[in-house]
Amino acid sequence: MTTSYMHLVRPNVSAPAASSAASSCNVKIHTSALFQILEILSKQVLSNNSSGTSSKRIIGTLLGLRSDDGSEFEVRDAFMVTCTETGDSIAIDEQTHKQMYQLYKKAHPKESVLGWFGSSNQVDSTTALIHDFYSKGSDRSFPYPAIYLNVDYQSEQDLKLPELTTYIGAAIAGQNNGPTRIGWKLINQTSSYVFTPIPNQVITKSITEKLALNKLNEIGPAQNELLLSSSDSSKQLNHLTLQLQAVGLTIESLLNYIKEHKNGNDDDSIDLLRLLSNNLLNRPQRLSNLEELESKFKAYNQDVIMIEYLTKAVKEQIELSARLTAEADKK
Amino acid sequence: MATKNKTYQQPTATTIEVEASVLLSLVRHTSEHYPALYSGALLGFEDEEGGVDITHAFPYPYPDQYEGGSLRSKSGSKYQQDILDSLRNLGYGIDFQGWFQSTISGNFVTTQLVDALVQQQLTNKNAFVLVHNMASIGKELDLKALRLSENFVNTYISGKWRSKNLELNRLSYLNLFDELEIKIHNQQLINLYLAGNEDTLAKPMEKEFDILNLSSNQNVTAQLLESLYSQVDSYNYDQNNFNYYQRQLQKENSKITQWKQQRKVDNIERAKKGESELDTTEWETIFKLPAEPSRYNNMLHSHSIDVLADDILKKCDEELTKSFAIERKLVAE
Repeated sequence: MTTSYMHLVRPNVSAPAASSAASSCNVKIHTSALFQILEILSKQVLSNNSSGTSSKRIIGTLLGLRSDDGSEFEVRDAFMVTCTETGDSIAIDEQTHKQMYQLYKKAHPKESVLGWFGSSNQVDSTTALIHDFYSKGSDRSFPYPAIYLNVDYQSEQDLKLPELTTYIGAAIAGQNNGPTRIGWKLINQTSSYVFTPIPNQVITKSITEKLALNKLNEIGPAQNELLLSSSDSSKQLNHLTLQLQAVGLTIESLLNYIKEHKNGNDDDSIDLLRLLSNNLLNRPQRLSNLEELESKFKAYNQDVIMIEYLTKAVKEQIELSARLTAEADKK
Repeated sequence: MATKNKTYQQPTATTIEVEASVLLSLVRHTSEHYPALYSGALLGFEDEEGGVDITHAFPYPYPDQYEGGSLRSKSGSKYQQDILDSLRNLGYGIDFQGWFQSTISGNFVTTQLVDALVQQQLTNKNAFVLVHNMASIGKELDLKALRLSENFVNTYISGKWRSKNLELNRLSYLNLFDELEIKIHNQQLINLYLAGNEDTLAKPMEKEFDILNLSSNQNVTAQLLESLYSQVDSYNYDQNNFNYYQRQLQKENSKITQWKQQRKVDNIERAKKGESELDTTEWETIFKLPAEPSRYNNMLHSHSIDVLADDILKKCDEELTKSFAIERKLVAE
């Protein structure tokens, strides 16, 4: 999504270790964490409510990594925290939050609380209340500023494509934990916050994860389920075949593109041509000696076949041994 | 063994439904820590049709030294219980359903893993273990949901591992495990997100073609072969014991035959003399046949070797496909 952001100078009164004011912030959300949040929302809201919309507030804790200067966030996991809203006040189940976080911390010692997620369509006073909870105290994001990820998935009546917005909040009123000053009347005990939108992106880190995600995509969202493992015989080399087909398709579409733009003289076509010729014509010196290369290939193939042959022999031996033992016993 | 009074129950779940986020976070956790091995608990619920739905996955805090090491450890189960308690506090009606375990090819067949799994299956008939094979990490996703077969569990309950018992329960290393199908279950919003991702951005997911690189990581084959050696070594050790037993058995058997023949001859002579015949079954008290060693380890090693061999063959096939393709192209030039 191409939303532009203005990096504002943030006041950071209540967060002493916040990044120096002028630096920009960036949030990376792991796909798995995003899916977890979406699952929590689906389960909590949609399953209880057939119309698909609900006013019930669902919040949860974001967990992950934060760069040393506090400007890069990596959201790696999330869990739900129950909260009940009564009028103007809100009660957050602190005990669960603490328990879950400490358990999570055991398996992921490097990660910490980054902030929280919610799913409302506006920033209101309750948002600030929750943010206050996450900004202060131990086992929360203090002394760093908390981030707030909002997943907006409700349009007027219906569901819509989940829209992600991330904010970083900074308190603007002074903290109230000092001695009450004479002459000041404190109406509420919480600070006020400025929510500054910061850019976010959804990332997939490991290649294996990407492969899994591709698999999810391949099937497409129409079917709700997909079969991951099929019977053994058809699985052999299945993946390789698919990948080869995908490469074939890519080449085909490239060729088609070139055919269509035969007379194109614009910058794009020239760039493409340059890229292609750079990639296709450049090759290491060693590759130009065809004969040597061929013999190397032959040797390599023979090695592989040898390994295959020996492995097969081992496999057969094992089976033979098992069968012989079984036969010997029958006598 | 404490399993005497338990019987095998036919599991109701033949497919495992896994939430998309569970799949992703599991795969991320195991592959990020590669080559360290990790295991963890899979939490979820049983649906009305008896299937198993997995909604949460939590890795155990510490890496495993070998496959199955943490599955029944005290710290692991404590951790698992704590997680379960806090999730229940949040209102999730979920239970412990199985484990996941990262491994390299056939190495996951350890006595620890099998023991843990069989014990769990005796308590909960739908228990299973999700094995993430990292042999082709970065190239292909290889997940299997496995459960010990009926034949194995029955043999385990009887506690006898002689070849006769294996034959009786029709158990061989080939049918040690039953493989279950894995289905991915997407929640509504995830479907929406996936669908939206395609339409609005018009950006196809990046493909990963690492599998097409020619031997982009030769270490893997070497590693697999090393695992195969060590499994074959363990297998041989076990097999030597068994061969020794077979030789002893043969020796004793030939002695018995000799004795029987001798007795027959004696009896014929005695009959000629008119004396009464000697007992022909007396050999049973004179000779004692050696006891057959357990075939349990042999079976586990065999299965492991089988899986390893399959993986190596697959790797080689892939290599050959690629290599031949490139070679043809070269020759044609």
